[in-house]
Amino acid sequence: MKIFPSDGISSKIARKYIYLDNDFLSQLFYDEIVLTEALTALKKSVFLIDTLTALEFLREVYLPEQYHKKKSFVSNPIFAPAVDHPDIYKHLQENALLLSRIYAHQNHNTKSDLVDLFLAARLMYSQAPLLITGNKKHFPSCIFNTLGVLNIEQSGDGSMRAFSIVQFNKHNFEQCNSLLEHLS
Amino acid sequence: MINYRKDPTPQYEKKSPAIKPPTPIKITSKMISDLVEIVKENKTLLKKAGITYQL
Repeated sequence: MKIFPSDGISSKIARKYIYLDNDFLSQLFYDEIVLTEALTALKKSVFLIDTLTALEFLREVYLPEQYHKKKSFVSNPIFAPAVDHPDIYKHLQENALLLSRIYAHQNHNTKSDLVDLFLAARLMYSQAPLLITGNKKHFPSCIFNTLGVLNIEQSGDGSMRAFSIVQFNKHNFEQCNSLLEHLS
Repeated sequence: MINYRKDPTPQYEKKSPAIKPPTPIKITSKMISDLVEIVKENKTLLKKAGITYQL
């Protein structure tokens, strides 16, 4: 397995906070070569793990030893836990609900689950952080810009899986939100 | 409109100590090698347990 980052990706994300989606975190946990190459390519940024992403990463792991290893992995100081505060969740819930309504209005049948909506709400709340995800469709282009792509060659069939680095676009959000408001 | 956050100042830039962002750390080769070790151990563990890991 090997990674193929898009041009200039390291400089675009340097010194930025970047949330890791569960699919990317799982990909890192799957193969040590991908892990080393990806962390080296992205090492100028600060990696953040949302509480819900950590929960997704650890859920349904029934082997005690494997659970312990995954827990140790996600607890490594490389992955900083995102700020977890009740004041923030109040905003995140409002943001997540609003984003889901905008997605529906913009006809993006993304089928985003609640964790994706909360991650999107996080990006909207702070506006500066980025997210790396293998499910770009859950973060539609009407609201999120794509800054770069990290392609990872898969073991077995050798297919290439793309992980997008996305950022909240406030201008696009406000346009979409304005269209939504005009319905009432 | 739901007040998604009219104040453009990110919450983490405000002074409440509880909502400060994590302090950036320098990623060292030791940190990466610790993670690599965990990944390798996990592969061995799954192989022993006969579990096929699907992403």
